[in-house]
Amino acid sequence: MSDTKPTSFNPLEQFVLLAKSAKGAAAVELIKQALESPGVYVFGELLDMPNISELEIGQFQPYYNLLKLFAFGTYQEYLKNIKSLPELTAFQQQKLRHLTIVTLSETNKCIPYDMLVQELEMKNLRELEDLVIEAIYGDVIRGKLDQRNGRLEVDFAIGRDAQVNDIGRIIRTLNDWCEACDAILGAVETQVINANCEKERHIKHRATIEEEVLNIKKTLKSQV
Amino acid sequence: MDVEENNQNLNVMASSGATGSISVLLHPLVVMNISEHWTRVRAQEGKAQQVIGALIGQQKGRSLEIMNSFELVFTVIDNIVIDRDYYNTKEEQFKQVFSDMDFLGWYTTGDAPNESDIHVHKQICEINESPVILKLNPFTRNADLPVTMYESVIDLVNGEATMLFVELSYTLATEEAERIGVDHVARMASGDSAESSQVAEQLQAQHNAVKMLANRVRLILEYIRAMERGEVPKSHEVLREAKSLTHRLPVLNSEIFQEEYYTQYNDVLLQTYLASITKACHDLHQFVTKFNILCDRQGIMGRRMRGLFF
Repeated sequence: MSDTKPTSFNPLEQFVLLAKSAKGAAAVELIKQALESPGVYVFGELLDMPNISELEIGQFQPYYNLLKLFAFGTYQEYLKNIKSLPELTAFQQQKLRHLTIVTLSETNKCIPYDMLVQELEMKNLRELEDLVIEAIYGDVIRGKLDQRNGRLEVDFAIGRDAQVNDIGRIIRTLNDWCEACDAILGAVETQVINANCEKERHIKHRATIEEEVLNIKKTLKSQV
Repeated sequence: MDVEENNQNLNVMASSGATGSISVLLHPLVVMNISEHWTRVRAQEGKAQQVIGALIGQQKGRSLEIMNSFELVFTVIDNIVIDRDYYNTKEEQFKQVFSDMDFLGWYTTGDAPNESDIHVHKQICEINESPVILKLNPFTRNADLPVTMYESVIDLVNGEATMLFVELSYTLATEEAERIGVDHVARMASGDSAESSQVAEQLQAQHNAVKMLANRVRLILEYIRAMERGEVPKSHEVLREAKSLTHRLPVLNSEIFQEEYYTQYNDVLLQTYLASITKACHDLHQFVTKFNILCDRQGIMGRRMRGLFF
C-alpha cells in the first residue's frame, strides 16, 4: 500500500475502502497498516466503519482501543495502559508522539520544552528537537523552536479527530469569533461616524468664523 | 440604403462558429486609456468626438490578451483615413519598450458598429490580418461596462463578399497593480472626499475586510451547527479542519504582545500629541505676530486705543 499523496485523507480513503470488506483478523491487519503508514494521522472515518467498530467486543478489543488511542489519546495514556494494548513499532510510537504534540498545542501555543519532555518521555533535548523537526516536515504542525527560551511556538496544527463533545466547543468558539467580529464592525462604524461628525463640525466652525471675518471686514470698510 | 447596411453589419452570430474559439482577456488599463483619451479630446475640443486608437498585447494560439493601447491619428476625408506614418513610428517606439507585444486590433468610441468602422477596419486589415475591434460607449447610463469586442468575418451577403462584425465575449484580466489603480479610481469617483475624513476612509477598508471575514466564519459556523443537528451528514474532514482553525485562535494573548502593543500605542499617541503641540505653537506664533503688527499700528495712530485690547 504505497502512499504517494501527502494529504492524510486520500491514504485513509484506501483503508476505508478496504475496511468495507475486511472482517475480524483482516480488519486488525488493516488497523496495523493504517497506524504504520506515514501520511495518515487521522482515523475518524476508519472508526466509523461498522467492520471496525465490531472489533470493540471480542478478542480484538485491544486493537480497537489502540485505534481509538491514536485517534483521540496521548502518549501518556498509552503508557498508562501499556499492559492492555498491543505492542507499538518505533514508527507508530513516533506517530503517537506527534499526535500528542498536536493535542498539547490545543491548550497553549507556546509549549515549554520541559512539558514536552515529560509528556513524550524523551530522554534528551536532542531527541525532542529531532521529533519536533520531523513533525514539522510532515506538516503535522507548523511553528518555531525557540531554543533560548526553551519552548515550541506552534502556529498551526492539523486537527485530530473530533469527538462528539468537541463539536460543541467548536461551535462555541466560532460563535464567539463571529460575535467579536460583529463587535469590531460596530466599533469601527461608530468611529467612522465620529470622525465624519468631527470633520463636519470643523468645517462648520471654519465657515462661521470666515463669515464673521467677512462681516467685520464689511463693517470696517463702511466705517472707514 | 445606409440603414440596411448598418443592420447587416451587426451580424449577431453571438460568437458561434469559427470565431467562437477565440478568447479575449482585456486588461482594465486599456479601458482606462480609452476613456482618458476620449475625455481629453472632449475637454480640448469642447465637444465629444470619436477617437480611434490601436490595441496591443499578446496572442497565444486562440487566446488574445490585450494589455495596452495607444492613440492613432486620423483625418476625415469623406471617410476616416488612418495616418499610416504615424502608426508606423508609434509601432516602432512601442516595439522598443514592449518588445513582446504585437498589434492586435483597434478601438473606437461610439455605440453600435457602423459603416465607417468597416472602412477603418479594412485599413487596419492592411497592417494585420485579423484585428479585433473594441467599442467603448461613453454615453451609456447603465452600470455595466459599456465595452464590446468584435471580430471581422468575410461573409457572403447577397452574393458578394462583405465584411461583417461578430461580437466576441471577453473577460477582464487584472494584475495586482491594475487592481489597486482601478480600486483607487473607483473610490475617488464614488466618494466625496470633502465629506468624510481620511480616517473614515481607512477605517472603511478595515470594515470591509472584517465584514468579509465575519461572513466566512459565520458560514462555517452554520454548517457545523447543521451538522450537529443532523441536517447535513457528518464530514470528518470538515470537522477536523474547523477544529484546527479554532485552535489557532487565541493568537494575540501572550504578554509579549501586550507589551509591544502598548508601547506602540503610546508611541503613536506621543507623536500625535507632539504634532498638535507644534501646530498650536505655530498658530500662537502667527497670532502674536499679527497682534503685534496691529498693536504697533494702533500705537502709531493713537496710544489710548491700546487700553481696549487689554
